[in-house]
Amino acid sequence: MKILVCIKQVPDKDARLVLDDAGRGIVQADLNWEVNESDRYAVETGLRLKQTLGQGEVVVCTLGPDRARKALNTALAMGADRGIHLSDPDYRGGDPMTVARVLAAVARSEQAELVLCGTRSDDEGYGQTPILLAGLLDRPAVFLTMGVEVQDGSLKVIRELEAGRQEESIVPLPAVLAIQSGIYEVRYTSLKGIMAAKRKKVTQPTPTELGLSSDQIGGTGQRIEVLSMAPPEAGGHCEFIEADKPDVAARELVEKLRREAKVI
Amino acid sequence: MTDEKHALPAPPTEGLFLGKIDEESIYPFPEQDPDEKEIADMTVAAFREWADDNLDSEKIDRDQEIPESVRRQLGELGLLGATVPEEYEGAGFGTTSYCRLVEEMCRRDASLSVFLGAHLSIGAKPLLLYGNPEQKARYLPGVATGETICAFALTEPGSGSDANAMRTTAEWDDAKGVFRLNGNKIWITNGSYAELFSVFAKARGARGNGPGAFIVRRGQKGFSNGPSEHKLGIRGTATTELAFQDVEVAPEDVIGEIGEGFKIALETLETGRLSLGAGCTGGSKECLKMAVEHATERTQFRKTIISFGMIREKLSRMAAHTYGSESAVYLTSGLIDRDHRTLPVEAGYCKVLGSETLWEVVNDTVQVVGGIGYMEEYPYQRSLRDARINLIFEGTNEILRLSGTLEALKEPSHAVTARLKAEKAGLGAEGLEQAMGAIAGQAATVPRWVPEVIAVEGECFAAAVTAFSAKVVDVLRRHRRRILGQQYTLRRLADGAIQLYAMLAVLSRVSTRIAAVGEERSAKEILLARRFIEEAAVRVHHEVEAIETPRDGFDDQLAELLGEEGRYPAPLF
Repeated sequence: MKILVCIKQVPDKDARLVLDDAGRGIVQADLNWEVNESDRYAVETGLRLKQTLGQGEVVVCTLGPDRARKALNTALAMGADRGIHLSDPDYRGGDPMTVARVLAAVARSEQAELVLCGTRSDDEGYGQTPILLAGLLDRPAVFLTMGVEVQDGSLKVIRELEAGRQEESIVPLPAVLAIQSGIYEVRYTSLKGIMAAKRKKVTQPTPTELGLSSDQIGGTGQRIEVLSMAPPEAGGHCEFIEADKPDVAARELVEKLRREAKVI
Repeated sequence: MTDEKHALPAPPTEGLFLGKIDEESIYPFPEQDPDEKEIADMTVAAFREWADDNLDSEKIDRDQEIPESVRRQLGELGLLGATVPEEYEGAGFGTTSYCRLVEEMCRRDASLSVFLGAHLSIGAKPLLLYGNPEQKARYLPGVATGETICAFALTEPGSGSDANAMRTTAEWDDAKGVFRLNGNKIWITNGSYAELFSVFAKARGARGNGPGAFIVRRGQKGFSNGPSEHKLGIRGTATTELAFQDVEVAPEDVIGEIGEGFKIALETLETGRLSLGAGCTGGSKECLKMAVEHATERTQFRKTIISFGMIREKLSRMAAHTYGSESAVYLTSGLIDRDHRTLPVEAGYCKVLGSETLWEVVNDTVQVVGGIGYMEEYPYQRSLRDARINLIFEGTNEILRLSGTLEALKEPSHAVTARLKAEKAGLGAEGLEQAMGAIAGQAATVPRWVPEVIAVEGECFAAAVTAFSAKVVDVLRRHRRRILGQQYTLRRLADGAIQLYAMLAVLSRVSTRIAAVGEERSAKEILLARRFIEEAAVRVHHEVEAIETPRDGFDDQLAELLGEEGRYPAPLF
C-alpha cells in the first residue's frame, strides 16, 4: 500500500512569537522549527501500517520554504521511504484550500491509496486541510483518528468523540485520515535513521509538473484574507476554594474545572 | 602527511604568546558543514525528545545508577557510536558534532554525559586513534551499538597526574605467547559494566619494555572490578577499582606499539578534554536558565529580583562567561574539523575555562535562588555537586595549565634564546631583530575583520595581547629554563592565555555573525561579546601586571610553615 503522509513545519512550542510590522503574521527569522505534533503521529501511523502489512511505501510530503526540508528529513529519519518537498515559491502563502489543492495533486500523481495528515497545525490551527483534501479527492475522510488497522482491504478506524467516547467504523480505501496526537508513542529518530535519511530521495515537483495553474495555489489562489493577529490579552481570574478537608476541596475543584472552566 | 602538517597554520594560542595574531586562520569562525550540522541538529533534537520522556535525573542521582534500560536506549538511539566511523557501524561524527551532543547530554544529566565520555571520548579512543584494521573491525561495531561499553584505565593509587609512576605491569610470557597484566586501577568510570577496557601498563620482556595500551575484555580470567564508589556528584556513573591478576592479553590486543602507551594515553585525553569543555558549556546554559527563571519569578520588596543590581550582575556575568567558554570550545572543535588536526593546548584550555566557568555559574545559580538552592528536593544542589568533578578529572586544571602553557612557551623561548645569543655575540640592532625571529616585539594589531561596532573590543584584545606577549618575553629572559619550575608565574601566564584565547574566539565569532546577518540581528551577541571582552581584558592585565609579586614569597614561606606544623599556625590567644 502506498501511504502519503502530509506534514507541516511549525515554530517550536517554546518559541517566543513576535508579530510582524503589518500585524498579520509572525517574524520568522531566528525561530526554531519542528514537525507539527499531530503530523508526527501521522508519520508514526504510516510507518506502523507499513510494518504490520510487511510491504508498501511511506511517502512524506511537505509544503514550505527551504527550511521545511528539515521536517521532511525528520520524517525520513523516523523511517519514511521518500520525500516530496513542495518548495516552489508559487506554492507559498495561501489558505487551507490552496494547500489542499496542491496536496490533492500530489496524492493523485502518487496514486496514494491512503493519505494521512495530522488533525491540525500547531501554528495556524485551521484544522481544514485534511477534510478539504478528501473533498477534492472525492474520498472518505475521518477526523480525530485514534487508531487504524487494515482489515480485508478496508480500514478499521477509531474516531474520537466528545468526553472520551470513541466510534469505530469501516472506511473503504482510498481514504484520507486526520490523525490525533498522543494516541501512541512516536518512535525516536535514531542516529542510524538520521544518517540513512540523508541518502533517501526527495523530489521537488513544480506546479506545472503537478498540473496546477498559479491562480489555484499560493497567494494568488487564496480566498481567506488575514486582517490582523493579536496576542491574547493578559488577564486572569483567581478563586480560592475554602474547605476544611483536602478531599472536599479537591472534589469542589474538580467540579469547578468541569462545570465552570470546562477544561476537564 | 608530513607536508600537510607543515602547511597547517600554527595553533592559535602560539600567536598569543608571540604577540602576533594569526587573524586569517581563525576567521571566519568555523561553520559546520551544512549536512553535518543538520545531522547534529537532528541528533541533539532526538536526544532531547528521548530525554524529555525517559530521563529521570533525580532518580539516577538518588539510586547512584544509570539504569540498564537507559544505557540500552542510548545504544538504540545510536548515540553510543557517534564518533565511530561509518564503516564500523557508527555515525562518524566530527569534533563539533560530538561536542554538541555532549553539551546537550551534560545539560540534561551530567552522569549521562560522563558515561558517554568514558565510553567514547576516552574508553574507545585508543582503538579509534591507534587500533589496527583487524582490531577496529573486531571491536568497533559492538562499541557503536553500545553492546560493548568501553572504559579507560590509566589512573592508579600512586599514579594520578604523574602517569609515569604507573605500577601495573605487562610481563611477556614467552611460553604462552601472551602479556600477563598485574596491578590495580582506580576510579574507572563504567568499571561495573564496561565490556572493553583500554588498560595502560608497563611492558617488560622480549616483546619490548615500556608503557603499552592493552585491550582487556570483561570475563577474562584474573580480571575483576570492585564495587561502585559513592561520590559527591555524577553519582549515576559507575566508578570502580579494577584488579588484574595474571590477566593474559594476546599480542593482537595490544593497541599501537609497546612503548607508545603514554603517547596513546595523552593523545586520548587531549582530544577527550575538549568535549568535556563542551559538556560544561551545556551545564552552564542549563544553570543560567534555572537562575533566570527564578529571578524573573521571585518577588521581594515588591519587585522581581532580576531588577536588583547584584542579581543582574550575576546573571549577566553567567551569560557572558558561558558565551566566552562556548566560543572557545567551538572555535577549537571547528579548527580541528576544518584542518584535520589536533589542538592539545587549546583543548586543555577549553577544559579549564569550561569547568571553571560552570563552577562559577553553578555557584552563582545557587546564590540567586537563595535558600532553595541548598534544599535536596530542588535540582540546584545536584548541579553543584555534579559540576565539581570537572575541575579534577581528565587532567586536573593545574596540570592542564602547566602542560599547555609550557608547550605554548616553546616557540617564544627559542626566539628569546636566539636573541640572548645574538646579544652576547654583540650583533647590531638588525641582528638582534633578526634573532628575535618569531617574536613581534611590537604592538599587536586589531584583526582586520573586526567590524566598527566592536572596534573598542578589538583594541582591548590587541592591547591585552601586546601586554601579555611582552611579559612572556620578559619572563623568559629572566628565568630561561628555570621557568619550568616557576608555577606561580606559569599559573598567571596560563590564566592570561586562557582569557586571551576566549577573547579571540569571541571576536572571531561575533565578527563572523555580524558579517553574515548584520549588526541589528547580531545585537544579542554583540552585547555578550562586549561584556565578556571587557572583563577578560581586565583579567589579562591583572595577571600580567602581577606576574610575580611579593605574595609569591609569602606563599612559599607559608606553605613550608604549614607543611611543618600540619595545621593552622596562629592560636588566637
